[in-house]
Amino acid sequence: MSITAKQITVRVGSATLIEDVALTLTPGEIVALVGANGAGKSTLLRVLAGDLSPTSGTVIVADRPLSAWRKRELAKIRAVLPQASTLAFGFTAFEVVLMGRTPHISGGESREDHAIALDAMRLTHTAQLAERTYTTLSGGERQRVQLARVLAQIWQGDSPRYLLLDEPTNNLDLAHQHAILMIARQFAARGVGVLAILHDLNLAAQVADRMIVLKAGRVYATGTPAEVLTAEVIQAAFDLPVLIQPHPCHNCPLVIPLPITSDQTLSLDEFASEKETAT
Amino acid sequence: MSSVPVAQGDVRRPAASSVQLQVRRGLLTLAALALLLGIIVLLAVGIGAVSITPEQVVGILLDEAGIATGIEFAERQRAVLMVIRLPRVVMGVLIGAALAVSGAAIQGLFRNPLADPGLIGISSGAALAAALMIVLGNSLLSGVVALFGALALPLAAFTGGLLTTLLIYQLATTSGRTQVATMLLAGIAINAIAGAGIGLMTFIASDDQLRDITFWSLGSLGRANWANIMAMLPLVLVGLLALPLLARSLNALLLGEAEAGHLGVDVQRVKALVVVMAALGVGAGVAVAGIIGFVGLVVPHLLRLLAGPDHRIVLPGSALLGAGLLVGTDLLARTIAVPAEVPIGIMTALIGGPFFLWLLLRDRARRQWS
Repeated sequence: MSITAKQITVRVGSATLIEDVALTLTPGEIVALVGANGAGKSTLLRVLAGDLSPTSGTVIVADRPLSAWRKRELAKIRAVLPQASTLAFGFTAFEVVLMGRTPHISGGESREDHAIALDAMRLTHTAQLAERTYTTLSGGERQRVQLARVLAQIWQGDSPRYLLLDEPTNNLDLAHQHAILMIARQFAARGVGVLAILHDLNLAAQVADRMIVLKAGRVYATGTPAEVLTAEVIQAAFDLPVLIQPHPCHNCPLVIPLPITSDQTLSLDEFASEKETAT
Repeated sequence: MSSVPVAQGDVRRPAASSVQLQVRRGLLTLAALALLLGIIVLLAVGIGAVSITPEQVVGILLDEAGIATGIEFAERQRAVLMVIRLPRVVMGVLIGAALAVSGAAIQGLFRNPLADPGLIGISSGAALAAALMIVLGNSLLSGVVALFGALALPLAAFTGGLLTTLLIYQLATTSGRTQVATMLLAGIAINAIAGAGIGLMTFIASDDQLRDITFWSLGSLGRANWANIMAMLPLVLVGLLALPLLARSLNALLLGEAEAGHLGVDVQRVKALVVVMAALGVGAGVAVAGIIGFVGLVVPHLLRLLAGPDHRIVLPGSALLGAGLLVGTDLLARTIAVPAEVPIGIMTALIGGPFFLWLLLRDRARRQWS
């Protein structure tokens, strides 16, 4: 029982967005997907979510190909947090969270659905926003309300459940970044498989059981944070020199970016001098 | 099986009860709108050159059903009610409800509060077909007229609207997925082409035909009769009954198409159903009454102002309010300049236009504040 992606390739026109990527997400673990901008992280997540059909390769959820699932059955066990959500109509935050219960409801919402929605809001520190109109919330508040919505969607259930998070820490302050990943840990501890695209390598190192580094559409490295987060891998994947130290409090590596030397980056002066020679 | 424990504290009750309040407010709104519709209908069947009291209306209707009540009324009143007023009011109810409920569903589908059924080509396609029929009915298209007689014009308008909508839908659909943004742009392009066709027909039309085209495009409930009503009834009823069933899916769709899909909504199916049912309902209305603008745009807005954006209230509420608004406007249109009758399309645009501007300005002001 897991989400398994095999030999996923996505081509759009002549551009290859991801090539021959394999991935497994088992219930109870947190997998962090990291990589530079344009490495193919979001494309891979969209393939796993079923929003994008890969050019080749298959995604299997609990022994069944993604296409063989009824949407509603899938929605009961798998939730997806989008990068950003806009809403043109003035629903309250509570109504937005309650929408997470959609796949479980036929007819009207039950008292239990209301209770779950509210619990999810308390967990994400958004209960005080319940009555507010979603469109008036700040970016970070919206992100937490959306998180509450996807948590409410897979709040309980007997079969393995999965959570796909596209940059869940977007727009969040430092405290809420940590709080949200601790929520992910709690869900993982109760058997939810969590896949999260993360940009902060240190946050990923603290929370993830495994990490997958994408580079130019391919899996460049995969393993535990200690295995993956080496100066060589990060230099290659992000083109950034770093120093790796043991974390002073957590049992994981600590990534410290090194100052970039002047020969690695263009300086403004060079543009000025180029202009002069041109004229 | 398992749920994540949360901090204790009783924030539960206020939020839950406020949702119940919201539900109660929605149901109350629906009840009030139903009552309003009833009052407008009674007024509309009673007011005119021959006046009929509400009591007499009930008496005549019961007498028609074979129940004697002892309420006194004149034979002339019965004739006016059964042959002129009632068909006109029933048609107003059906068309108003169809326009408004389709408008609400289309706005939800496009996730844009400024969308209306005209965007997907129903009106322009119907108008082009009607213009073709009026101008070429006794030459190129005389075969159609010979075949269908008086029904040729409404049938052509209905078919034209439906075909145009399906064309726009097809243009926006590739490999099983419909791009809503493409549908919007294709709609604009097709509307422009239809406009050119209508322009050409107006250009070659005789004076009489020109008058017919103009009159048709301004809309009127004056052609109402029971045969027309029976023809359009099933087409309108399908949408009226089925669109509200999509309310929860349309709510989820407001989060985004991908998000709705992740919540288990079959987005493609919802798109197809909304487009087809709106095309059937609005197409049937346009076919018998010509083009009546702004009802589909304005009514869903009013509902959202009254009871919030939940489609479970907005869709049935729009049907009730749309019906009431159209019957009320028609009453105004036929009494404001007696004995002349102002085309109802002019009245709805006259009321809808300023309202739309007000919405626009209100939103602009709000955006500046936040």
